[in-house]
Amino acid sequence: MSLAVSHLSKTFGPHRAVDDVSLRVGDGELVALLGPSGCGKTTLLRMIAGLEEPDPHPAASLRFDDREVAGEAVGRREVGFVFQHYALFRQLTVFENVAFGLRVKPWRERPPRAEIRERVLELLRLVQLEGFEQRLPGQLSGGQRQRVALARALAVRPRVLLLDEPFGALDAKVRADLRRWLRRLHDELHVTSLFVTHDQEEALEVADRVVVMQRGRVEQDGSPDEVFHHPANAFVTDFLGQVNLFHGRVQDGQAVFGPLAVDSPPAAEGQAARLLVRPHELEIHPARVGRPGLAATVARLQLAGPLAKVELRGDGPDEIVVSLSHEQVATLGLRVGDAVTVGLKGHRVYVDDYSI
Amino acid sequence: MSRQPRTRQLPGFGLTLGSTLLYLSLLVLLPLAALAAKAASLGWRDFLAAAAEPRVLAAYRLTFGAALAAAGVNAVCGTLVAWALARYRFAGRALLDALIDLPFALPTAVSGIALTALYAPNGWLGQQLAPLGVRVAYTPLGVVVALIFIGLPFVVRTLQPAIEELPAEVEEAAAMLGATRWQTLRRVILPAVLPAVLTGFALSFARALGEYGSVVFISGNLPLRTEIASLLILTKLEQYDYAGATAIATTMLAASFVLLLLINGLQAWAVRRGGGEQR
Repeated sequence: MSLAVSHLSKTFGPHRAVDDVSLRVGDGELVALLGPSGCGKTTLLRMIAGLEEPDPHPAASLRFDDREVAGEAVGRREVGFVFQHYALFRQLTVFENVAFGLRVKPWRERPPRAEIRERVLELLRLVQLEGFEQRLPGQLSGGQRQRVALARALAVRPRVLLLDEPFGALDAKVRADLRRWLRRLHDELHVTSLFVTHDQEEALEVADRVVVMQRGRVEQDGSPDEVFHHPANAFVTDFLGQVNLFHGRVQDGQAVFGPLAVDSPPAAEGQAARLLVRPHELEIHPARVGRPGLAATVARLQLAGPLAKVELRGDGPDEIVVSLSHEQVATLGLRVGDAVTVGLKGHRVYVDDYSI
Repeated sequence: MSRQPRTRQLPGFGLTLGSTLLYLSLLVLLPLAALAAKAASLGWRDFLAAAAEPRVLAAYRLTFGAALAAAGVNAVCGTLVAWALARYRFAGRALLDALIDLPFALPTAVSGIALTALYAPNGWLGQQLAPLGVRVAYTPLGVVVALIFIGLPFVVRTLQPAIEELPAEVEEAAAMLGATRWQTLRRVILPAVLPAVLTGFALSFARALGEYGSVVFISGNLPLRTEIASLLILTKLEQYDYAGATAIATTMLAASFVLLLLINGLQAWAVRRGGGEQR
């Protein structure tokens, strides 16, 4: 089932948490809502679930396929919801937690006991928790609890699955495992899913499509590849991974950042410009080679990890971070305190909307 | 004597346990031991005669029955009050919240007299109830009313933090799974707060067993009808029947202790069912 949100807003007092947002999730798609905390992504998710009432607006609508669900009760929307802190029923066993949605159905729709049992066991197999039926949530690890929560949400065969920072409370290793597992599970089940995260890596790795939000608005909506390599604006560039930021001005049609000058988007002379460069888009040469570029000294070498990270100190207040392969570091023979020049391999220039 | 070197992770065990034992011995065990010693000097026959005469049996029945009834009413109504105070923000909430503690602070005689004035046949509420054939003052019902009054804060104060701790997400999760409000209440909320309800019930019950001041005014103290055990003990003392008083007191003590142990066991079971501490 597809999901279409149009012109939804939500105001809490003077604060506009969600500001006229529209988005679509296609049938069987897995979409990530990505943004910093407080950007309104959770509020948007809760409105879709029916846990939050959208501001009244003539154009506001929330459709599952062609069915308008804005006025429908939470339990009638056929939506599965997974909470960041699991929200399991702690006095019920794993089995009963998963069976809950089936047991509370009106008796006319309620499946017989044997069928409930079969369905619950099947789901526990799916989330790899066979043999845990009689445990209480308190006896499980965080990752296991979240898998129970997922099985519980799937038990009622929801047409849309909403996940609110599902891995937010877990440690790094478990998160990484679980998100790959979620992707495989989605490929198996193909249930239309929307999940909220503030972790760009998670969004880029798991989702078919990423919707980046800031201050209640959608900044960009595209494939992981698109938003990473062709970010729509400075915010998206900055948010999707580490960037080095340089401030400069437009001069003679070029954006000038100290010794670096690059082509500028059309802009008035003297306007402020920002240059955003990812660590892998910079190159380092020893200063003695005499290449043009930013002069800097090596402040720190971080050699753990698949790529080496070199932190440089230039004239700016912020350190410049460059990632290189370990071979490159070895070839350059970099040491802390070395004088180097930094050149650009790739970059993005943004001219600010306002002029000074 | 050999000393074993022992290290404990948490310091202060010896000090705190020592003061706990000293404190409990001086304040609780010593007086109780004196009571038991006095009772032991009685001999079985005298003890039974004093502890099981019809007037005393009637007093036990009233005391335990009324205390159970009052604790039961408080467990239900106190849960509702605690729910309202913990869950909703409304005008006058702070005032209402402070009002709950009043039965703690009020001298029990004052509350007893106030309730009697209210429920007496010529009292403000008694007048309304009389045509319906309901008599409260000077009946066992009056005893229950007084015990409800003094027991209410125990339930409310135990439950409030437990309800505040319940994450709202759990209710939302139940609603998302299609549960009605009633199903959410019965299957999710009540089981989660049950241990706290039982604690409140036990506290309210224990308080009611020993209550004296508020009850003696409203009960009328009719032997075999509305006389509670603690009053009977006092009556015996006033008649210099120390043996009789001791026998009743010892029986009350033993029965209360067993009942409270049972309730605590029940509560421990409920906590285990609740899966202990977690979110």
